[in-house]
Amino acid sequence: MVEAVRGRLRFMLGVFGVLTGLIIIRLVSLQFGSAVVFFEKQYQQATSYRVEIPSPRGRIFDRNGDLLATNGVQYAVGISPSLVTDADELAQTLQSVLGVDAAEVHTLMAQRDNDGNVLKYVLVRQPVPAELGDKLLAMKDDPNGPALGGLVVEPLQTRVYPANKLAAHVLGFVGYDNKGYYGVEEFYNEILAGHSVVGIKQVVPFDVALNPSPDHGADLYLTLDRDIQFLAEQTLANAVQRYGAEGGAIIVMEPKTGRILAMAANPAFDPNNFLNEPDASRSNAAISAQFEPGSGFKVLTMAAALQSGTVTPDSTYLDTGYIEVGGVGITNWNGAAWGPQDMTGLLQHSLNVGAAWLSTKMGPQSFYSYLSAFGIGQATNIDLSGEATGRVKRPGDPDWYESDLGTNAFGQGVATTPIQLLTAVSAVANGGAMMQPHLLEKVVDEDVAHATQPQVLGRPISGEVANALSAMLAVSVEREASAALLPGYRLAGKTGTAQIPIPGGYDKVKTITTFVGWGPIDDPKFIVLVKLDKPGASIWGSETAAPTFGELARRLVVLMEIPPDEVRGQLATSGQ
Amino acid sequence: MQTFAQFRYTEITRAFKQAPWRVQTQVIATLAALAVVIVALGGMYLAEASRAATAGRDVQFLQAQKAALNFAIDRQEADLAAAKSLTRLEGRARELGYVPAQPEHMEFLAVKGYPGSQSEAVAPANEVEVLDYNETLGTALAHWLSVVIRPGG
Repeated sequence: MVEAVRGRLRFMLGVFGVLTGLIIIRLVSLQFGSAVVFFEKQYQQATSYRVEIPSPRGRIFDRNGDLLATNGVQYAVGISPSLVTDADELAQTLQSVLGVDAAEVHTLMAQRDNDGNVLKYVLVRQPVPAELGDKLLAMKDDPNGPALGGLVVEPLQTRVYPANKLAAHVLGFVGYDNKGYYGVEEFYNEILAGHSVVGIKQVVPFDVALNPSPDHGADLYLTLDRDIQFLAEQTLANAVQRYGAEGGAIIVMEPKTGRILAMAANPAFDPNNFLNEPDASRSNAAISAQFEPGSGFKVLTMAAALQSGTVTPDSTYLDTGYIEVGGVGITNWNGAAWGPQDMTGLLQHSLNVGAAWLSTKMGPQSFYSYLSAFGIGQATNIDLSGEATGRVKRPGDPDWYESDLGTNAFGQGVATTPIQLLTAVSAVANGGAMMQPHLLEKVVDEDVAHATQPQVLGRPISGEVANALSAMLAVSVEREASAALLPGYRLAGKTGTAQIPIPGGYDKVKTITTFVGWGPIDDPKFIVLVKLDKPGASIWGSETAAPTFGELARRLVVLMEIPPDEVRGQLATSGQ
Repeated sequence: MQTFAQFRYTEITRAFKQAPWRVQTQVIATLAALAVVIVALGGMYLAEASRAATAGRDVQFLQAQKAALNFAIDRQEADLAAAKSLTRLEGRARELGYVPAQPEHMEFLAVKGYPGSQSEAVAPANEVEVLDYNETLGTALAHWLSVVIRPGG
């Protein structure tokens, strides 16, 4: 009887044991996955690893399809110490090819992790130029070459700017993290970069599977014209040298469309070698350098005065050489009184007293409203990274004084950027319409092109006022800035000589000189801003920036194939 | 008394029972057959695995070759662009005695039927209202009240 009971108990124990085992197996399975999955995972981990497959970055072209930025290859050279076959030979080879000290290579190979294990990989040099990387790869593959077991030569996708410094400030550069910095590289990084994908790299050959392809970045075509850009950069470099300036900027724009044909800044930098360039040289002075524009600003003051009906081109005033605004005395650039002057004379002689007379006659509300309409103190939103906004103090601001109304009229006490000033003045050149300055012509993704359309940014003045002011400025250039003239072409423009604010006042010696000019005035094809920082040869815009404009314009009409006015007239009358 | 048939059965059974080599032969034959099947299957598996591994190696090699070719294309494209760079072209042109063209060197000819550069479409102009900043707190409040409290509303 007892035996029978014991037998039953053993049976029940067995049954419960089996059930418990099943439950444990199920729990383990739920926690860690089934044995099949577990071993599959172990196998995958042992035989494969995840790799990021980078997306080739989109290229950048100028408007004629000339390549400005593309991709290249450099290498990362490293060592897998556990796979090294001949440490001495490897160290000697790296020393001879890369110039790395052999002792340093030995030190790297001897490095250990926290647990005292030999490292799986140590980096020796990055980036290594393509030629040297190729040489190492060839030596490694050569059966008669040195024993280079354990040497790892991995390609790195890098950005190449074939024209080196050309348009560097517009383009920006790409870091080793494949991110764009400055210029269009940063502004359009999302479009250019594409999207990398994660793939699986198999160690066991028969498990190899095709990985997904990364989403390529799209190609950009800019409005820049490589020839005009080259001309602008050469002209600027020559001017900086000739006039002993510290730097400068030149922008060439189509006033009718807002397309930027060239944008040069000096000092330049080489984006292929960005790590060794000073930080200051990387920023684009044409969009980020804020300065007091000086007399070039009188164009806007006059435009506002004409548009508001405060004066007409024939209005006159008596220039006594002095005007007091808000308790501050304002004099002309030479301290002289110029007597009775019409509005063309005011611009021609660049009279501060006349400009202050205009702004006070308009009143602060009207004057500052027009400045806002011209976009002064606001970013133009050009498609470049790093644009500054400039600043205009307005009535009601804690640091605005009544005297600002007088000084702002001739470009003092107001901060603009070159692109902002150019965009504002382009309204005068373009019949009153201010176009959105832009650099992107089209995006080409695979075989599909998305073109941009020029857009009107604003219309601060009427066509009549713009045409009248253009004619006044053409006369002004003919009389005031003859160095900017171009025989056969009627051009309009205005010089600027701006004092540089320093703590406690203005620099007594150094200035920033500018010239904004456009032409031909009856059918403007270009508008150019020249800015020179602290020229040593002369402090005056008429003697530095204006001749630089003239030099540029001479070649510009050739590159843009603009016939002289007389020829254009003949073509027009002959119906061509 | 055994019949002849019973006798034969007994004798044959005994003969076989007494001949263990026959049993061993059968076992060996069976095992040999199994071994042949296993070897055949193993051989086929190895052949397939080897073929798959070769194909895998080929894929890896081609992938590496594709990457190398893409790099080579990029490099050649950059080299070509560098060779066509304006700095180089200008230097070469100057060496050959060319000078930059000036306006006086240009001659424009009227070509019958050639339309010349055409003006292009521009996005419609937005008339920008020039605002007068003459609004005071009082006028702003009055405007707000006129919107909120509509007459007869």
